[in-house]
Amino acid sequence: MMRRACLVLLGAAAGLVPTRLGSTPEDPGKTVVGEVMVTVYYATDGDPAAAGPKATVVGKTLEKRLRNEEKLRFKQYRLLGQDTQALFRSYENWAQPLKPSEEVLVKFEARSRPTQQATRLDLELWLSRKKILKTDVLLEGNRPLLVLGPEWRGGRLIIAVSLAAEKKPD
Amino acid sequence: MNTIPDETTLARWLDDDLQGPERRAFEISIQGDADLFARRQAARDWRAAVATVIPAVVEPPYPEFFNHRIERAIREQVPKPTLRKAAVWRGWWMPATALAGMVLAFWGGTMTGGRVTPVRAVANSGPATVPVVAGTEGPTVYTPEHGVDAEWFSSPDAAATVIVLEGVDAIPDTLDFSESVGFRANGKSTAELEAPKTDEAEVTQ
Repeated sequence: MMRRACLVLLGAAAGLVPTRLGSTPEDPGKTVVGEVMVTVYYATDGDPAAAGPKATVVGKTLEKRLRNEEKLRFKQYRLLGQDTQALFRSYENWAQPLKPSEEVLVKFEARSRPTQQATRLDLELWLSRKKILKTDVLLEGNRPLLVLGPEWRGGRLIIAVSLAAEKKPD
Repeated sequence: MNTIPDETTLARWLDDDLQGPERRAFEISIQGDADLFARRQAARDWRAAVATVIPAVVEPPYPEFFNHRIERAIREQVPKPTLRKAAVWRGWWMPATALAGMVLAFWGGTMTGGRVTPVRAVANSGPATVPVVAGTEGPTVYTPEHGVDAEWFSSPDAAATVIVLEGVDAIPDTLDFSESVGFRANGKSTAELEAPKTDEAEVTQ
């Protein structure tokens, strides 16, 4: 009886040891300190149907917002794609708003410790696998970065970079 | 007997340097030589004449100057009191001054480094408190691709930072993003950029 108990204990200990050895301490640089949302809009003065049958109309608030700025003023706006990715404490991350296409990519990295109100990012915009723009930008709660980008099908792409709102628990 | 006087004794006799028995012995030896006595008298007259012109004791010129030089040389050999001050400085004034300098530099850094405001992180999985340095200066814009220009400005009308790219190659019209537009909002922006709700969305034909 005693011998069997010793064997059981040894077996349990043998099962625990590899588990402890196999675990590695988490990299604090991978801590998620926020989320960044990248959205691509199609803006045109022509027929918005050129964006494709699945492109969706943007909300009235956003439409008004874009139309208020002369450089971004177009007759029609359509939503082409969106991607939200984690903002790591130390590492860069990529957003791919037109998945599965890699035509528009945004690389970002925290430049300062983010808050819910503001985050300063090192940001790169890649178009057609070429780095087109590199900047550092301060994103505030309701103040996104809007990039008037390349032409496409008679219109232009507008790439919006903003902070993602905090997710509410389900 | 040698009656010729030696030159040294003769010179001392002419200078009236011989005294007592030495003088008497010398005068006996010269046996009253009148010529020698005349030479001694001439020497006496010459010394008397010189004494009337040159004083017997002559003070050195500028005694104050020489005394000052001597006093200064003596002072320079005496250990300087400044060495004592240096020892005190190295003793504990120097570390105390260095510590005060470090405290002052730290205080200056905290005053000029911007205000740090701890607030909650953006994401629910972020750290509990994450400070950020407040600042509203504009971005630095760099376009590495040849022929591409970028202009940034802060747009109060759009409530956004706007960058306008010029000279970018157009995306070929043959590229189709129909697959990507099939998403439903996978997140919500703080900047009111969220996609419209499904029932409000108008699908183009």
